Amino acid sequence: MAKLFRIFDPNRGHFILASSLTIIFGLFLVVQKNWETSALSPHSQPSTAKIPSSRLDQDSRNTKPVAVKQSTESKTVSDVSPTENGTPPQKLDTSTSTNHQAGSPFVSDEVSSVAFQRRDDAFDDDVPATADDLQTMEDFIVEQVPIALASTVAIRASYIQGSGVIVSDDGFVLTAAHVAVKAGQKLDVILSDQREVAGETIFLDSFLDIAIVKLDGPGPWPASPIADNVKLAPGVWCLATGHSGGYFKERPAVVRLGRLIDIKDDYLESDCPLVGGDSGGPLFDMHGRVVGIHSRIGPTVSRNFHAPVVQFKKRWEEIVKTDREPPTQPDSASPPEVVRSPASEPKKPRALLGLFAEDIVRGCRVTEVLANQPADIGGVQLDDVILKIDQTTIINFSHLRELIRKKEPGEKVVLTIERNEQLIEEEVVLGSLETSS
Amino acid sequence: MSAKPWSFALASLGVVILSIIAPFVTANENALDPNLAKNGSVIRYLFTDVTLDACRSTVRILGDGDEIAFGTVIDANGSIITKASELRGQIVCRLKDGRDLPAHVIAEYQPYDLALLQVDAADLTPVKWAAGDDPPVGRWAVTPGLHGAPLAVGIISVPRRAIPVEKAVLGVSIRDTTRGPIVKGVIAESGADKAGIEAGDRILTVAGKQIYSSEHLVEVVRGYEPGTLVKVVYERDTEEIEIEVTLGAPIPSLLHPNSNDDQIARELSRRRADFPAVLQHDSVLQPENCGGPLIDIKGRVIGLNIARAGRTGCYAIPAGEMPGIIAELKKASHAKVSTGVRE
Repeated sequence: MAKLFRIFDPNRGHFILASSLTIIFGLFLVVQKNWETSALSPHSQPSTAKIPSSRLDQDSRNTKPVAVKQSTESKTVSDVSPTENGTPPQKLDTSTSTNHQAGSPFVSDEVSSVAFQRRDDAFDDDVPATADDLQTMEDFIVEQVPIALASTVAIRASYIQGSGVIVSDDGFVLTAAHVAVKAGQKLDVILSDQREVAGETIFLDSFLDIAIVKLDGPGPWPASPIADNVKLAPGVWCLATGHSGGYFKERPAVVRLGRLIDIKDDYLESDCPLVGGDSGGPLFDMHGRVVGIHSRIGPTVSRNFHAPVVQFKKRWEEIVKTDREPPTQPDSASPPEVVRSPASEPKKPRALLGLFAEDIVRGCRVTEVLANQPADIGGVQLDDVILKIDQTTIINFSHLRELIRKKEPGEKVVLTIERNEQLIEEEVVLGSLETSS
Repeated sequence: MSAKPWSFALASLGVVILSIIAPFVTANENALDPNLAKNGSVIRYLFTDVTLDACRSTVRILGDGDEIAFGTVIDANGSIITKASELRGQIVCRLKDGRDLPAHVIAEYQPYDLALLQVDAADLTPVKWAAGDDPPVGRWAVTPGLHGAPLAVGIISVPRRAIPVEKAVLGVSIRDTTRGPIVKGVIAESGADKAGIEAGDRILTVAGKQIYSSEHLVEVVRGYEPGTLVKVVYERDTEEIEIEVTLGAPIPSLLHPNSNDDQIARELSRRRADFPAVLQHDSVLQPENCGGPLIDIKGRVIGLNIARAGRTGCYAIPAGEMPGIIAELKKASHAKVSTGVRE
């Protein structure tokens, strides 16, 4: 991104200097890369270590619901119910000695066993490096798929249809904020075994685009753990599941493979192909841990954006802890009394920019400028592309709104705008949004 | 005058350098090198050996000189199957060894959109269909080209299922937004156009069903025959408007209301529905790259790519279906030949 802007930099001298350096560095990288690639296959170590674990039957389409039960020592996967064809429940003991707290779906990345170290290696930056690695990956993926699918749900709310993922066996579901609509929203949640369950949005973070939905009923629900303390890096392999294009009874959630392309504090980018309907669905790492929530489709099929669940951990703990405390009466059919959302914070006059915009690849394009409101007065025009506010890069329109919300009425902000292929800056004095109504 | 060759050399050097640095200039420096992405050259290269056998049974189909499909060799004596609906013009099969052989369409099998081609050859390598059950979800699904690294790699995304008929269209292209499906464009003379739907309208319900996404709209509309009158409720300027729309028949060039943008719409296969059984995989193939074999990590041919179906996936006919389909094609071709009808 920084380099992209450099192209627009009027200071041509720097640009030429920078680009000639880039040329030299680029050539160096290309030469080095080619050299490495050709050296890669013969010299890399063959993956000889065998995986000492029983696997879920790879043979048939084993997408029956499975529950992930967590203990402090290990996680065990077993069939909740016997499958129709009478297959006996299979157990998969991955014994990853995951270090996680009881009652929390977060699992940390401590992996002690040497054998599992090898399995991790199959998903490092530099691998797969051989066809053997590809086979190891496949074994791993086929094993993860039934568990990933069991926890993936479809979510319906008013005009929106999306996906979600159950992350605790007592029925907490993560989805995208734009799927969960608003705090207190009643939703229909369709499980992987086609059960329809009522749910309610109990929390939204529209900045990260993550929401928590609570399923109605005691469970236990088939859940996948949330990744905690996991070091994400570009190149990490991941699986995406979700109800692409909406829920269809005859089709389970669609599974896709990809790699993390880029990691930012507020979003992950991957090349897992996504489409409408996938929103809110989970992005798993190769250990079946939820690392992201599908948020936005990118400019090309191989660029898509996910909300980073790892960033969400702190808030998760606050919310879920307080929500778990009330069930002193075991069958709490009544919804949680306190709905926590940014909207329920104490009211104060909110800052107003006075425009509407649609999300595009970078930033957002202004679709409407309210007459005589701050943006209009400050010189913002229709079709301007807002890239930054006070040097903070805008991801989308809701991000812009979130940033404005943090400002005070009367505050001065600088918008970086692309207009007619030129970068300009407009200074806008924020107005006040009447919230008393 | 001696400056001229120099300037030419400099210019070409410039072009070469620019094309080399282009990815570095536009990409975030912390982001993954595109060559290492799932379908980057480094990853696809790892599958090269795996594809060797299947490459020998893959042909490139040309129509009036353009690449229009891949084909799959089914016997040594010049029988090749390919995707029927992509065929047009003078058909030529380009073999891995470089031969260009004129081809005749001698039979078609509508249910799977397959055509049987005949070329004049007796030394082709027929494909070996994998025996046994379908591959489970998560298995590698690799699309070989004629040479070298495969065209695309992915995994099986959805187990075998039937794809229903794509029956009727409303006549709009849709952009999915966080506010729901918004009309991006209206096809001239379509039912939507005649009923007065305009770009920017937000579709709320069709035939009484709430519409959640562009693909959901397609799913709802395709439940009807062309010519059916359905009620459509949309929102314009915060006002809800109810109208009646006569659904139309799909028009191939305009057919892609479920796409997220026009570019992707052009990248979908013309026929991408109404198949008795398909496997879905997450490779993103251009329509002209369908028709060839789909293989697994062992090089076994697990299916035949039959359609780029949506933004995120392709359909392949499961290998287990192929012997039966080929028998049907051969039967049809004998019938045609015996009555003297050819081409």
